[in-house]
Amino acid sequence: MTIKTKNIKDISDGSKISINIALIGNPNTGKSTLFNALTGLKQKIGNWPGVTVEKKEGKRSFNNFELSITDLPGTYSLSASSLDEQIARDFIVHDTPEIVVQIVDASNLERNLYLTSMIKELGARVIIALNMMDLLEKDGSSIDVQKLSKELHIPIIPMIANKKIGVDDLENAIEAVYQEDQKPMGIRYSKEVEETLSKIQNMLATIPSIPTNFKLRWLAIQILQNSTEIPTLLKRWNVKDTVIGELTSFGKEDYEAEIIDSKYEYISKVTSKVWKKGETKLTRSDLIDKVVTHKWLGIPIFLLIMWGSFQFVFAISVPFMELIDMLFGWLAGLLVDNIQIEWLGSLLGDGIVGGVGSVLIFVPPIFTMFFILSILEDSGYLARAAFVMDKLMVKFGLHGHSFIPMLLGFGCNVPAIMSTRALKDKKDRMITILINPFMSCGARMPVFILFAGLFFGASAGTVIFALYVLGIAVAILTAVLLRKTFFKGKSAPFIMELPTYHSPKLKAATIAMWDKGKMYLKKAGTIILIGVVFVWFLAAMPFGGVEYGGPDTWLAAVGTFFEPIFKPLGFDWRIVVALIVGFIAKELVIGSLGTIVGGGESEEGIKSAILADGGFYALNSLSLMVFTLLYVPCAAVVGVMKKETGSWRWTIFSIVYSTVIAWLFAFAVFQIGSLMGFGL
Amino acid sequence: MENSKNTSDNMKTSLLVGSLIFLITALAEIILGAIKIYTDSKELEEHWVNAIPFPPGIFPGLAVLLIGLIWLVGYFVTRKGQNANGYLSVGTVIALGFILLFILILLTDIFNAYALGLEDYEDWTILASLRWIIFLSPIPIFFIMKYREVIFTRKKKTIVLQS
Repeated sequence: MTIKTKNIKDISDGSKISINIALIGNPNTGKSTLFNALTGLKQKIGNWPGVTVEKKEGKRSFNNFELSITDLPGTYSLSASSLDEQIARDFIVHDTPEIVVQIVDASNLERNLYLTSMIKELGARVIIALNMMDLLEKDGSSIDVQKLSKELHIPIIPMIANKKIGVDDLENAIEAVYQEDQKPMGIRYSKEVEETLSKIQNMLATIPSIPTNFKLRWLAIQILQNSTEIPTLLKRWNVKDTVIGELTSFGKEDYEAEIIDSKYEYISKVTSKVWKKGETKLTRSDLIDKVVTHKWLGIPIFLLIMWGSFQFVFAISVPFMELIDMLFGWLAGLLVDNIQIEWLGSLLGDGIVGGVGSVLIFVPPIFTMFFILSILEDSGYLARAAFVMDKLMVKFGLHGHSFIPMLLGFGCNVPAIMSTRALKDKKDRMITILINPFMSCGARMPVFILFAGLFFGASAGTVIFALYVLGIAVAILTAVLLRKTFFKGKSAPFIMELPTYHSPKLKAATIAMWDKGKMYLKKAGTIILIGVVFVWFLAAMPFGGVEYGGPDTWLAAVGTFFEPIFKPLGFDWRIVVALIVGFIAKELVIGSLGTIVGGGESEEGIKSAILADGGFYALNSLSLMVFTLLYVPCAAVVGVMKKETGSWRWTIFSIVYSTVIAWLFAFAVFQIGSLMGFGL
Repeated sequence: MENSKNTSDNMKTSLLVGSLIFLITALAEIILGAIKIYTDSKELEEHWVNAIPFPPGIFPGLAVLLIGLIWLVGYFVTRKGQNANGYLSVGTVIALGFILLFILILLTDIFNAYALGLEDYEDWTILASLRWIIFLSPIPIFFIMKYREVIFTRKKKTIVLQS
């Protein structure tokens, strides 16, 4: 039994007291790390801002308590000017957690406490988890924690979340805070502001429809700051238009500046009493940043690291891929040769084992790719990559923060598109969403690895690297086009906090690799399995008298219908079918080819089947890789795009635009290559 | 004081020498790599490219070039009397990263050729996977040994927290 009460002394029957806790903080302060430490979950952690874009929930039990912990998106304020700020603010207001644990970066105390002031205004009971104390100590700085706690009227727990130091103290603090009320922070505005706030609060007090969880002082401050959200809220509470007009007339920009200044003034006064800054010297991170964010060296270093990563992925995966290929080849042969019922042997051997096997072969490169991305992210380098690329991106009218979702897109476009919620400007956000599918996700990699490996030998890694660069280039060009047409205007300024470098943790990278990679394995057992069985069915129909995957099958009928459109790209009907099926999930491009082309040749695997097939050669393979890179995103991405843009019009635009672009680029590759004599 | 000046002078010389060796090697590798890929001249191939048994490549050459450039910029930074530790560290770490990468590629090639017996490796010899940067490994290794304090973090301290 779970009960909700503050009187814990009365609990003696072993039942638990339920406490709702909100975990909040500036981006990249270690919120997700603390959340994982508290809940034992394996929520994704990133050494860059914007990892948590949705609220995540977990539980922890201790003594008589059961904590329901919600990890909110990282935010600098609660003014709800971006979606993640709004999610965090709404949770505190509507879900009214009993305690808000704010994780604060000890080395950036002043800026972090600004958020504290806003949380306290909402009337929440707060505990500060003062994280990254080790970095503060390294810097030679120190904070008088007890004095700070006394000044703010907030319990403060020093912490090193990634080493789980301070987590037990936090439990004790939760227990203590749960049983007592908290004083507000001592921020006082000018006499004029305070008087106006009182007037507004008195007016608001006469409106009975305002829910009790909205603190009147907070609402009054919002009105005074001219918050655009207030009229909507008041309307929702059926407040008369005349009253709304009267209330909103109090709002002035001058007040907003004064309120912010007063908060910072108060915070500055408090921190000056408790914070002793160490000797100012360049840290190791500063010295490294001088090089990796260098005006001329920054971008080449980024490109070099990406190229090296692809070489690593390719080198490490080949032997494992060969071993998996041998296993599935053996299994397919065993089934086809030993099952007497011909169609069943074909279904199991050619269809299921051939199709799913040809997808599973690519587990090693995909997992290795995720591993490398996690290492780069965890080290803090990816945030620098975004910073370095910002200079380039701003020139193209794109927001620097857009590069983070673009980099995430190398893993999967679905979370990448969701991470655009951190962008404040709607136009920036729309552009970033629409260009994201051009970032080559892990599911497209099997096509690249297979064909680059087959036809480009030792240069395979370089070809794959070039494809990724092409994806970035097309994304940037699309951004320019969108900025000059549908989303005219200047991009919002890019402010990003660079996290401190630290050695990547092997365990964290392995967990991140598994988290991302297991999705691929899961798909292999579900949607890909269904997809390849469907393709096998079409490739075998009509039963009796037709050669499996031959020109008289239903599959060929579908493919040949569309073939004329793709003929100028060098594709025959089999590639056309694979690309159409690839809309469901990109892995199905290879899965389908494995089923169609690999039929009856499973011992050699799909590679030897393709090599032996006259329909595939270097130039049309390159054209196919380019088309796969750029064409319509998979169904899951289309779904999330609709959700995030809130518009079918832009979703359909993205589908049509990307397919046309893919066709044009593949056409250019094939036709120019043919003219240069690289054809069949 | 004297010690610190000596270290700084030594680092300046190391950065200059290291960068020049890397830059010259890089240019040679890129040019020969380009000849190998983009020209049909048998004469050029026989006399230049095949004269060295280790295959040149444009991208591996660009990696060597960039490492050389990082150290060279570091050298000029030290000449201005500024801290070039970052240049030394980043250049050395990238160099070692790529050396390890190419050694790994060499090892997987050996595995593919001899353990798996893959068809693609029928004419392959170990020399074909010996990238030029591997032969330059004494330089970053020397840097690591000589400037360990600069490149790696100091000893970790135990931190005791008190609330």
